[in-house]
Amino acid sequence: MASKTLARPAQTFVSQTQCLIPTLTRSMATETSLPGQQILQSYANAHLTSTAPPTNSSTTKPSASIPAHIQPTTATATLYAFPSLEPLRFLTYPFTHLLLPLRRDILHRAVIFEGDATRQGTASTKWRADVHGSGRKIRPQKGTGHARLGDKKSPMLRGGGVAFGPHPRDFSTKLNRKIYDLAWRTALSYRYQKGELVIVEDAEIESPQRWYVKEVFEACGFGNAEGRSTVIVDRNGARNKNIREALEKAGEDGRVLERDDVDVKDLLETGRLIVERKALATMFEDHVSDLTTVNVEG
Amino acid sequence: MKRLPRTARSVDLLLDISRPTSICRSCRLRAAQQSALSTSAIRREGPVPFTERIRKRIYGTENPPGQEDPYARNSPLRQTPETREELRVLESEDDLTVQKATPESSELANMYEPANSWDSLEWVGGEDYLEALKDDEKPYVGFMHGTKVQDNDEIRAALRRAVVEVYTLHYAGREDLTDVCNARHNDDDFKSLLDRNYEWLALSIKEPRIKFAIVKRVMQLTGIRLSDYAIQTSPTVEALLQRLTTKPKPKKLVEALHADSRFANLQNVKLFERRVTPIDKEKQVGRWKVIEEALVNRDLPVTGHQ
Repeated sequence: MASKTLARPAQTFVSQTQCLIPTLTRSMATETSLPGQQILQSYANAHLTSTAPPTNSSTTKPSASIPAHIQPTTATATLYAFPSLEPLRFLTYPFTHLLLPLRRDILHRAVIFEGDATRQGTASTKWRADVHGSGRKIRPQKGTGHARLGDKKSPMLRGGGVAFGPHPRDFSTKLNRKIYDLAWRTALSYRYQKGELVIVEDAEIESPQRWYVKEVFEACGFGNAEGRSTVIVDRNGARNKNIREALEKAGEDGRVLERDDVDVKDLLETGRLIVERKALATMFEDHVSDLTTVNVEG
Repeated sequence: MKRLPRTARSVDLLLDISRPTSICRSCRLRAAQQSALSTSAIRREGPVPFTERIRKRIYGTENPPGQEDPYARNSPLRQTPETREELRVLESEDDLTVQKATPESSELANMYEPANSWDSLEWVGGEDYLEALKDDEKPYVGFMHGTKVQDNDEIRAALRRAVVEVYTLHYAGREDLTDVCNARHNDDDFKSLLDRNYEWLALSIKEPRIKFAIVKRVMQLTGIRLSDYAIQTSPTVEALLQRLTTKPKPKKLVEALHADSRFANLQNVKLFERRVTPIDKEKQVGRWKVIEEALVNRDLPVTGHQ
C-alpha cells in the first residue's frame, strides 16, 4: 500500500509532461500550421500501432468511446479522366495514407537513404602494391646526399601509387523498412494536402506529338510554367505509349515514371504528381509495413 | 605455273593498232588490261543456288526435272495446310493489287513536266507547315471551362447554379446527379442568379454524392480545378466558395506588393520588378545612350551591372 501511495505523485508528474510535450515542443522542421486535430490524432493512431483502433474505411462507424472530433477520418480524392480532367468519382483512402502530417526529418532520411543506395561507388585508384613495376631500390640508403627512397612505386613519387585513394565500395546505408514506408506515405500525404496529387484513371493521350502534350499540359496547368509534372503509370506498355513518347519530346513539361521506378525523391520533385489509380493503390500496398491494420481503397 | 607470254594472249589482238577500228586506243587498252588481269571465270547473270548446281550434276542435264529449290518457303515439301492457305490468299491478293503498266500510264509519264520554280509546289517544313499539321489533328478539349472565371460574383453565381441544379435533381429522385454536367451551357448571365439571400451558403454538403455533383458542376462552369484537399476540408457550400474565390499565392514578391494598396498611395515609394542597377539609374536620367556611344567609340565592351 505504501509503495502505491508513493508512486502516485510520480505518475501524475509523468502524465503532465506527456500532455505538455505535443503543445510546447515543435521541431523546426515541421510546418507551422498542422492541418487539424483529426490529423494529429490520426497520426498518433498511425504510430502507436499497438493501441491503434481497428479501422475500416468502408465501415467507419462512430465509436462511442472516441469523441467525434478526433475520430479517424478518411481522405477523399477525386478520380479524373485523363486528359479531359473530367471528375469521375470520389475515392476514399485511409487517413494513414493521405492525411499524415509533414515529417521533414523522415523524408530527409528516406531521400538520403535512396541517394546513398544510388551511388555507383566505382571510383578506383592503385595503391603502391597494385602499380606495375619493380621493387628495386632506386638508390643506396646512404651516401648520395639525397633523400632515402625505396622503390619507384612510392606514393611520394610521380607515377607511384595513390595513398588513401578511393576504391570501389558500396555506399548504401540502412533505413528501417517501417520508417521508409512511413516516409513514402508522408510524401504522398504532403502532396495531397498541397493539392498536388492528381489521381487519374488512365494516363494516356491521343497523340504522341510534342505539341499535343504541350497543349494538354498548358490547358490543365501541368506544364513547365507550373513547375512540370511527374506522371506515374502502373506499367509501361502500349496502353500509355503516346504519353511516354510525347513527354520524352517535351521533357520540359514533365516526365513519365513506371510505378516500380518511383522513389520518395521522385514523389517530392516537380510541381505535381499525376498518378494512375491502379499505380497509387499498388504503391500503397507496397508501403504499409508500419501499419497493423491496412485498408487500401483503389 | 609459268605465265603465258604476253604476245600469246588473244586479247593482245585488241591492241593491234594496225587494224582500222572505231574504238580509241585508250579504251582498248583498258579493256585489254581488265581481261588480261582477271583469271576468274566469267560469271553468268545472277547467282545459281548451290542446290541447283548439285541437282544439275546429279541429273547430268542443264534442265533437271522437279522443284528448283526444294528448301524454298513455298516448296510443297515445307507447306503445312495453314501456310498453303496463306500462300493461296497471298497469290490471289497479288492478282488484285499488281497492275501492269499500260500504254496510258506511260503517256501520263510523258506528260510530266519538271517544275522550274517553287511557286506551285507543296511547302514542307517551317512554322506554317507545323500549324497546318496541327489542324489535321483533333485539338484538345477539356472538361472544364476554357478560361478560368476570375470575377468573384461570377464564381458565386456559378456555385449557386450548381447547387440549385444538383439539389433539383436530388429532390426529383434522380439516381445520377452528375447529369447536371450534361446540361447545355447557355449564356445566362450568372449574376442574375445572385440574390441577397445567403442562406444557401450554409448548406451542408457532407453527402458524397451531392458534394461530388456540385464540385463537378462548379468546376465545369468556372474552369477552376479544386484540389482534393480543398474538397475534403469543405463541409459547407460557403467553405467551397471560399476555396473557389481564394486567389493563388503570388509567385513573385512584386506581385504581392502591387496587390497591396498601402504602397499604391505612397508618393515616395516606387515598386520595381527587379533590382535597380546602375544602368537603370543612368537610363532614368537619360545618360545611358551617351555612355553607350562613348564606349562604342572607344571600342570598349558595353557592359555594366545588368
